[in-house]
Amino acid sequence: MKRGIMRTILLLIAIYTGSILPVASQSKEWEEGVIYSESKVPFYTLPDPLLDISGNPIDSPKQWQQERRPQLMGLFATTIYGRVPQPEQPLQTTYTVLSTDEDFFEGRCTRKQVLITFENDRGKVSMHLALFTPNDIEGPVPILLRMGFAAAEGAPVELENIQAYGRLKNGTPLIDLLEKGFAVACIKGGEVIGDEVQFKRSIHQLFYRGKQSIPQADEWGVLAGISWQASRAVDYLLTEPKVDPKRIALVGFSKLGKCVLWAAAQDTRIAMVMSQNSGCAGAALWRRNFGETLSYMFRFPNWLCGNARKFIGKESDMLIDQHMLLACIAPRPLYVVSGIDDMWADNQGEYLSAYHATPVYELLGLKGQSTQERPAINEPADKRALAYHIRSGAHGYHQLDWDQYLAFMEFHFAKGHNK
Amino acid sequence: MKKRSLIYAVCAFFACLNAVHAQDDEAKFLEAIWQEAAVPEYVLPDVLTTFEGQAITSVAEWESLRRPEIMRVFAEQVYGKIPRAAAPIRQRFDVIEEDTTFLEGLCTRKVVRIRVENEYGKVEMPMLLFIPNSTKAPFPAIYWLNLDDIERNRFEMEGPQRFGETKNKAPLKQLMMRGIALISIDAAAFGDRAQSQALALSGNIIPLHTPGKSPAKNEWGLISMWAYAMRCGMDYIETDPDIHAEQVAAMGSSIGGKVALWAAAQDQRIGMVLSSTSGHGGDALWRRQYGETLANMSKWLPRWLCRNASRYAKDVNQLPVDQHMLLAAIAPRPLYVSTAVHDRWADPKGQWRATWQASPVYQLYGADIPFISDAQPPINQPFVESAIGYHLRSGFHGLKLYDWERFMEFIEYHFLKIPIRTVQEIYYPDGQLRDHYPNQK
Repeated sequence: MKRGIMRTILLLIAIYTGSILPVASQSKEWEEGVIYSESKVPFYTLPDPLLDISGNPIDSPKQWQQERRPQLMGLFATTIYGRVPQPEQPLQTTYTVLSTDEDFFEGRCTRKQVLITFENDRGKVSMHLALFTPNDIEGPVPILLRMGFAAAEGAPVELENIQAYGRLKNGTPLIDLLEKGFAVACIKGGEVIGDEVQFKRSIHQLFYRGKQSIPQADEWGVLAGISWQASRAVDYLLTEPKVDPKRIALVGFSKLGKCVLWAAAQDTRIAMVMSQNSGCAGAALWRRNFGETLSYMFRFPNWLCGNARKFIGKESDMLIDQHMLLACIAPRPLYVVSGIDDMWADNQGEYLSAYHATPVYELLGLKGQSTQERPAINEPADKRALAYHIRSGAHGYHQLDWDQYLAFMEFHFAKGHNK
Repeated sequence: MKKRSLIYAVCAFFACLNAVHAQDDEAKFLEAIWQEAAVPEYVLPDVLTTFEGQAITSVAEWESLRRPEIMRVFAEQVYGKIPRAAAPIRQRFDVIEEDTTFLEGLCTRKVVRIRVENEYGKVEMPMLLFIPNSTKAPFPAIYWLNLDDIERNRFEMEGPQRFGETKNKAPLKQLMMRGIALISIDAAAFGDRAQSQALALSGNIIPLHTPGKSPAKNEWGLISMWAYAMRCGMDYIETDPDIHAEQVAAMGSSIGGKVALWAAAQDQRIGMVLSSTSGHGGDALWRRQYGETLANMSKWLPRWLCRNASRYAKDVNQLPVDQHMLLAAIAPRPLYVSTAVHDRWADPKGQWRATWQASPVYQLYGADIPFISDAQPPINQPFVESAIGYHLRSGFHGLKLYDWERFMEFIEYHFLKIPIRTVQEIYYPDGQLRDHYPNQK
């Protein structure tokens, strides 16, 4: 009893100090040997997405889709993020509508809060989803599925005050989305992951077989679990008549910027993806070793699958690199965003990845980033399938990013553009 | 038993702290006009006609007749004047910290303690200076009005995810690369922010002026008090050889923007004002009564203005001045008004109208104003090369990187007299990325 109270106090202190004090030291990022200078990037050769495993060129869209892409997806699944295993017993998924408010934001939209529950004999895990659909438009509309760090229930999905008119407390510019005629759904990336080290109360446990106690070396880690969560949100969105099933865009930032890429690569129902400041295991190239590296990524021991650990310090032995992940999203529209002062994420590597994925977009008859030199700061190269901008500033959402994402959705999802 | 009640007390304490954080004026936002159609008709007092009806046609008339009478009304009826000191005030400046190798050697970080005292009391205010380490001293400076950011270490640098950015999101690296110094004071030393919702104003700088008495109806509110802090800071800045004393741009966001405007109106040493989403009491017209109103401010933030201001809460049209006249009082010094489209509380249209209505005074000085009509300029199309800078950006209330960058350009245009540089040109001088790689500690 007493212990419980003490724990509560400590928690309160932690919550309070957490809200006013800077996050604990980031000493790892300052360690000797972290590369922050372009001149120290090691020499490397990237594997070619358009040469198959036996070295034969891939020269048709059909060959790419039927041969090369499945090879690459298999490699990402088994050596980087981990594949999702078959559960011994199928999951029962239930959708519970917690509330429907047809008069949300002065009647401009309907907010529906949904609890999605996954259950089998091994346990039960839930996630929340908050859906906002415009009231003034009949019929299905494009939607932005935002995977964020804030909870998808309670205060974060309420409106801010009039100083930030029409913004949700989780930072989503609801007003701008509605004005363009888009719906938006918010989920908390990682809500299905209870504990990143032992996977207690995590979705992973529901997929264990026999006496398994941790995912196997080729089975999913934390990031793949969060990507899976995005697909489950899509499952739900497809049951909503107000959502256009062919125009679902997915956005994520930082850790979730990594997850949205892997989610979109696997799930072709995701028609568009925006990945912001994703860095290592996102858009950045492993082989550059700039800023965060595979080795540092394992300070979170289970973000990737166990097999990935084998490549620490041997990134050049990988059969893949992250440009191939971007390529696997083709032909669907993809937007990669970097910040010039986000050095830990290797903003140059994020661009080069887009550049080296471009041959695949081009093979499919689409435009990407065709110059090795990246676009100027704050000058988006956006009206194309594989878009990119580097903006001033660092790790975080800026207004420019939101403005660009909305324009990108408008460009690709406008009638006539929709393929 | 005793232990348990202590535990509950601690719990209650933290619960209260969080409640205070959360509450933060939510109720006041409900009492506002948000629909353009509901805005009442209003007539603005003409900035170039004296209260007695005389037309002002020259700079000399403006400076000798009109400007002084406007300033008097703002001092007596809006912000509150500063009463005479009860005894001569002594100032003392001590440099208490200096690091010449800050931010990978890009700048020098200096902490100065500004002491203001007389026999009735003493105020000590920290000032923080970041001075570029290039050879071209003295530098123009952004002089940022802050409240307790220094004390809370919000000027510490972020890690390599946000390299060169302070925790309160100042783009320090870009400022230094452009050759612009950054100065901040902790004005809360003069008057505690927590007083903003209290009826009585007390403490800090007041005893030096009116010991034992609370301020009269025409004497300082908090904006006036913090503006006084900025002016005391200027006293030090003038003595610092690294800062170009004629090229100091007072900057603030929200309440800070109101303070920066009032400080600069009173203190001609301030060479420029950069106002970010300052709203009512700053760059928005009271008479439009859209979003925040004088009645609302008098009710919820009674100590921001002087007590006389609340006399106009019932009928704001009786107030002899409006905020376009405060903006005009900055002339001919460059003024930048930054507004945000969804910052409805601050009334972006009223902010534009005030800006537009201030321009005749700038034109009287011969300044070239690019606004050609009273139609509000479109979103995200900034006016930088102008005596009055202006933008309406996308997004919400607050000081954003977009604002910082326009402000830096404004300084380059007016103070440095160089062509405005893009961020690309700053980061890639001669086409090569400037390598500032973080110290390998």
